[in-house]
Amino acid sequence: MVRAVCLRVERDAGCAGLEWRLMSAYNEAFNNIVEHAYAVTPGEVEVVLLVDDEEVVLRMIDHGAGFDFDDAGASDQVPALDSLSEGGMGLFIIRNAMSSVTYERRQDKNLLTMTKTLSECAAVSSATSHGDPRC
Amino acid sequence: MLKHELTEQAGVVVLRVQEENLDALTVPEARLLVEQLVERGGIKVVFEMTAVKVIDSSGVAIIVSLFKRLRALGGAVRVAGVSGQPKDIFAMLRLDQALPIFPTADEALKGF
Repeated sequence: MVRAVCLRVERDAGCAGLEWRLMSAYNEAFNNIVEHAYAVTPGEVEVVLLVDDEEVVLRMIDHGAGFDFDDAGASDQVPALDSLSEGGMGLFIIRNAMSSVTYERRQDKNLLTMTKTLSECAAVSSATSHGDPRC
Repeated sequence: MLKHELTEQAGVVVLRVQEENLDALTVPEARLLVEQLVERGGIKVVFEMTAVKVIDSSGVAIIVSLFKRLRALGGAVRVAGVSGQPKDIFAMLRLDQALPIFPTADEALKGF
């Protein structure tokens, strides 16, 4: 269902590559929540998708354990093959799939907000939406 | 069990993943498969993923792990059939420059 929503957003926003970027960010964030926030006790994940003419905001909220986002291996540098680790790679994918990423711990909630600015995207053409590094 | 096909052609193992998702749900089973391949020592493997439509960091990690471990044993891995979202993720991580990637398994087998 999430993929269908992302496909529709890509089509409606006319933004090439938006679907795979949203899906990749969603998958990695979801994995992190399951593996870290809810590592001990399972819980719910709230997914919010906000779309306007300028940006798409994907927000994921959980009630699990918090984490230090800045210290979680979230480098902007492409990881070298010999130092690729699953954890750091997931955050790298989120950061590079989206325009900006913020993390907040509010009361007992983790809020991960991932934003894609639509002006960064190439327009959807009749060609495939994959392979455009700008979007 | 992870849907896959394992064949051998001219001494090269061809692993065809037949899942649409190579992600956190399917990787635990893929990891068992990788362990079995690594136990065979320095073999050559073509990792064919035409069927894979979506990959995540755990899927990428299993391919990189296979590549590095077999290389350390004197073996080698070639990846084939990468397209769509997996191709975009490979490009983002610059794995398209670090791993030997071929359009098809047949092309990966040539001269391997």
